[in-house]
Amino acid sequence: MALLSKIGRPALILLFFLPIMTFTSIYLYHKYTQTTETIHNITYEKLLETKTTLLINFIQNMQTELGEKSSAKLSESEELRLQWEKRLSVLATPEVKYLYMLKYQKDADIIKLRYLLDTTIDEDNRAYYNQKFDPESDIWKNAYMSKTKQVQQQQELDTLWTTLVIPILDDEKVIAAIGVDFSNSARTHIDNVILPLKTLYVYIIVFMIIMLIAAYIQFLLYYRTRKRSFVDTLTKIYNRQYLSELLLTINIHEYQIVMIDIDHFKKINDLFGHDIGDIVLTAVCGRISSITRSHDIFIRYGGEEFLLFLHSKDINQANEIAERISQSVKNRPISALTHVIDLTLSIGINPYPEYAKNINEAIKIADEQLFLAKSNGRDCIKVFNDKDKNQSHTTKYINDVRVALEDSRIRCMLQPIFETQTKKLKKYEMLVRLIDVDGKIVPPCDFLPAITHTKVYNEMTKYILESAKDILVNHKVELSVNLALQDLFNKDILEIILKILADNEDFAKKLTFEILETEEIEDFTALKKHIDAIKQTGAKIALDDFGSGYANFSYLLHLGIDLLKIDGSLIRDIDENINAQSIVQTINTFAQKIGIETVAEQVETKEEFNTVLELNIDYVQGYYLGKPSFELLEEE
Amino acid sequence: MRKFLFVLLIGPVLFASDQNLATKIYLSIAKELSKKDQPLFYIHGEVEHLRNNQKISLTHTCDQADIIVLNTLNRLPKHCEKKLIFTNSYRVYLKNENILGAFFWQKGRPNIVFRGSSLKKMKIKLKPSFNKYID
Repeated sequence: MALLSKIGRPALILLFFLPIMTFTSIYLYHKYTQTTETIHNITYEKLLETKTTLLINFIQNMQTELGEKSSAKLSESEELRLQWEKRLSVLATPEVKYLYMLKYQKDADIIKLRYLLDTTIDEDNRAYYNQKFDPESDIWKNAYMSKTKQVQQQQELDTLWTTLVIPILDDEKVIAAIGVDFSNSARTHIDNVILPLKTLYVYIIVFMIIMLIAAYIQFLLYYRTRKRSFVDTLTKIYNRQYLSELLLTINIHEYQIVMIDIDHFKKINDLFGHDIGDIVLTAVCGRISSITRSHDIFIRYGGEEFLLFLHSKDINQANEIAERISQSVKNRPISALTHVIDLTLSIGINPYPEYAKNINEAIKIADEQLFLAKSNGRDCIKVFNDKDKNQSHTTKYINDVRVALEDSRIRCMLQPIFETQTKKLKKYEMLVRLIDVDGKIVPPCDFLPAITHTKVYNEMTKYILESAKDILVNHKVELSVNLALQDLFNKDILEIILKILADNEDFAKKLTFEILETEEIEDFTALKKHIDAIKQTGAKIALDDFGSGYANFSYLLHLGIDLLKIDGSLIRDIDENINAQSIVQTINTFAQKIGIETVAEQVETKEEFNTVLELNIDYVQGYYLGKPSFELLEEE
Repeated sequence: MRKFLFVLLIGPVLFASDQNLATKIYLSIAKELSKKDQPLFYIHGEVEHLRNNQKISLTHTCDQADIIVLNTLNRLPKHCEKKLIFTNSYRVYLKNENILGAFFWQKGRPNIVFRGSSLKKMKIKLKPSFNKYID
């Protein structure tokens, strides 16, 4: 099954179905031609048998009526010849082309044949009495010598199929013979009857061959495109899409998982620009690739994050390779145009992926080790401890969230968002919380990273959307739901969203998805396509925490954003910070000019609120006007 | 059959077309009757495939001809009736004692016939392989 999943449906059709069908067609055509030949042979045998019986009867009748020396008697009397010619012509059925009687004449050593009777109607082919007959083969001589019936299939004569010779004996001596030339019409008739079938077979074979060729071309194009789609355009190593495919087929028991991250890569981009950043990424990939072996799998997992599946169960070997990777970057600064950049790597290793419930969880554990490496000051390698293999943070949170979902302990707090000018409630932002078994509220930053890319994460997303639907159906309010940018590239999540929103425009219109960007967008076109798909249902899109992450003004222009949430870091103490006021004013002016509404996040004091009001921000959210709560503020 | 006949008369000739085969048979007959390597043909009447045939030597007057091939004796100069005459019609052959022989197709088979009495009269002796065609 793994192999079948790997090669895909088009390949399956190509490799098995089409060739089998083509060869089956050819085989059937072969059987058809064999059957046709058998029919011909049966017809041929039957025809000869019937005609032989009739002619022998004719000869017996003739000899009974004419007595001995019948041939001589026919030679002597023209009247007798006409009479017997007429009787013989009764046997000249449509499949018989020529029917005639010849007499043998031995002249010295040469056996000559002369016409005695000829039933042929056509003047050009009708012979005269006593006309010499030139035999085309030895069957006449053989009939004379053997005194038995002779049959000759005509290969040389175009219009004749078979010639049958039946000797006439008188006193144990062959004196004459009846010759029957069968026309091709019998064979042609059979061929004509089965011609449609033959044509059908030919069409099927031609069609199948064309299909086969077309399928091979499709196959090549498909695999070329597929291969291209699996390779990261910048670094030329496998991308995350390949990982999705790999997860279906990989036998994780044979690998150790290594997660690698370039330390402070964002600073390189900020300091030197994205072009230099790209050169650095490519160079680092090149160095790591040169250390990995052909059976290891190296994937660009995120922006500057890489995943390496080491085909080895030797922990020491994994450590050694990770160390070599680290040193290869650390010891040799990377030259990018005119810059020489010193780099270090943080590396997390999960040597026991088999202990995780699934591959995503195994990757999470490696990621967790990477997080520890980073927390530990970066430029180091952290290996998942054998003792913790049954209970990593990841495993713990995945289990916790799974159980919490079953026990309805995943809850959503609602934080109100108000119109700045009127302080009137506009909507609520849904904030997911996990209530642990002791009743303690666990914030999402604690458990979300652990469950991302797992089935539980998808289930939780579905649960939150269903909860939102319940609220919107039962209350006259609007809601915002948070989405990580990566969720929009997750087929399953996107499917869940579109499925819930489909055919429910009223619900969709009251829902806004707040997209939080934590890493740079790689595939802008795909993102826009996914956003458009959501917007088509009637839902709105907000860009969360604008001004703090990777999001820039270009996103506002191209992604069809409806609402812009200005990050709390810019709002905090805005009443005292002139620069922050200028930035927020610029953002607000730009957004309003292109028809995007704005929200000031984390407004916590009256002074901050007044400044936001002065800056003409459309909406405010924060503790000053409303804290998150499990209950709605008011019912309209 | 054609191959068989041709093998019998003039040796192996493979892949000959119908017309080529007929031409070669006529040529073989003419050589045997005239005892010449390149006999001159005179074509009279409807024997189209020989009339414009490049493989035989043709003459426009029957006087010079070594052999006359015809399908009718009508309008053939009287003095030419004594020459070696061959026909492509058995009916014409039967009707005219002056015609030495015939080569024609009947019942899908090629037929050759030489008039034995005329051969004797004209003192023409054929190779033994031709004996079976003498009537």
